Amino acid sequence: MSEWKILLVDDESEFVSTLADRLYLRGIHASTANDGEEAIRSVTEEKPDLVVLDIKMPGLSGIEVMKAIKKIDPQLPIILLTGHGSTKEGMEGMKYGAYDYLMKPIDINELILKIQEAIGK
Amino acid sequence: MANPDLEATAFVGKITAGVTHELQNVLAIIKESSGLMDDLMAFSEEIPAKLKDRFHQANRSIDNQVLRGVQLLRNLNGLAHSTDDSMIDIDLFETIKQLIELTHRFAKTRQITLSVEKPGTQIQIQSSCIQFQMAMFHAFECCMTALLPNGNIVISLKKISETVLIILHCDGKFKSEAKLDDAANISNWVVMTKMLILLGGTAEMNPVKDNLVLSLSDK
Repeated sequence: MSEWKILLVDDESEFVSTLADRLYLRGIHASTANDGEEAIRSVTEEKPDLVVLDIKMPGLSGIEVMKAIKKIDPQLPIILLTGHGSTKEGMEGMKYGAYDYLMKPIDINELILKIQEAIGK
Repeated sequence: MANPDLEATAFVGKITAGVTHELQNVLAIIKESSGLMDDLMAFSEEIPAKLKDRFHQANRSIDNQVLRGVQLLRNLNGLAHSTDDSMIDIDLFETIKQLIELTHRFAKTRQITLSVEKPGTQIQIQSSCIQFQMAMFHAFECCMTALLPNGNIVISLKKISETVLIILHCDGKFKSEAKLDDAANISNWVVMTKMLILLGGTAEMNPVKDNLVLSLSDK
């Protein structure tokens, strides 16, 4: 688990940096990106094992970022973050190839379980 | 959308929906920060167990309030988005349930409980969701104004052919012998009936005056 590299993408920098710290304490290395373009660059340069991606971001939306990432690495698992109990957005994301989705605020144990499932697949 | 009232409603809905997204991010950051504090405390060997327990207890309180806030925002976001379309399919049970949660405080201050019974099958109407919720809210108000504290309002849904009945049954002591009849004299009744006319519906009381029945077409 400690060798896994996770990329956390959300325009709320405090959210992803805190989440990265919490994952680190559990032996998972996570880097962060605060917009779609930075995320796409990170996928190319850092080659993460999994991306956790917020659907609603300024500039490129989560779905647009996901499509761009899938062009770079079609096999890279992506977990989407949605808001307000919106299963509709999450389901739509899965149609475009997301591994799964979680609703914000997330439960860290649920996120780790999804990460394990997705990478261990 | 040439109606200024609808334009104003759509404006308020759009701004509210945007703010609920922002607030949800605020709650997500609070939750993660509280979680990180918990983690750091758990990993520390220097801090006495008693202090750790108290710290965890305080953090659970933060988590509970975050959950409460998330639920409130979810409902508020639903209400805000109900201004997006002038005509949509409305799941009556889900919409009334959400409205009850949103108006919980209005009932709580009067010491009255509001609940909705889930029908055996889904009952829908095609209409303006915001106008429907306005009609329902004022129907709640009519009943709550007539009841004394410790009263209950139980809402049930029935579909007869193409007509949908929303029955608000008032259980408890009324402020006057006229029961719900008094409700017809207040401004809530006027707004409710105005909204119902826009929705193509009607309102009436049963002969015993403890039920308010709203009739709507499912089309």
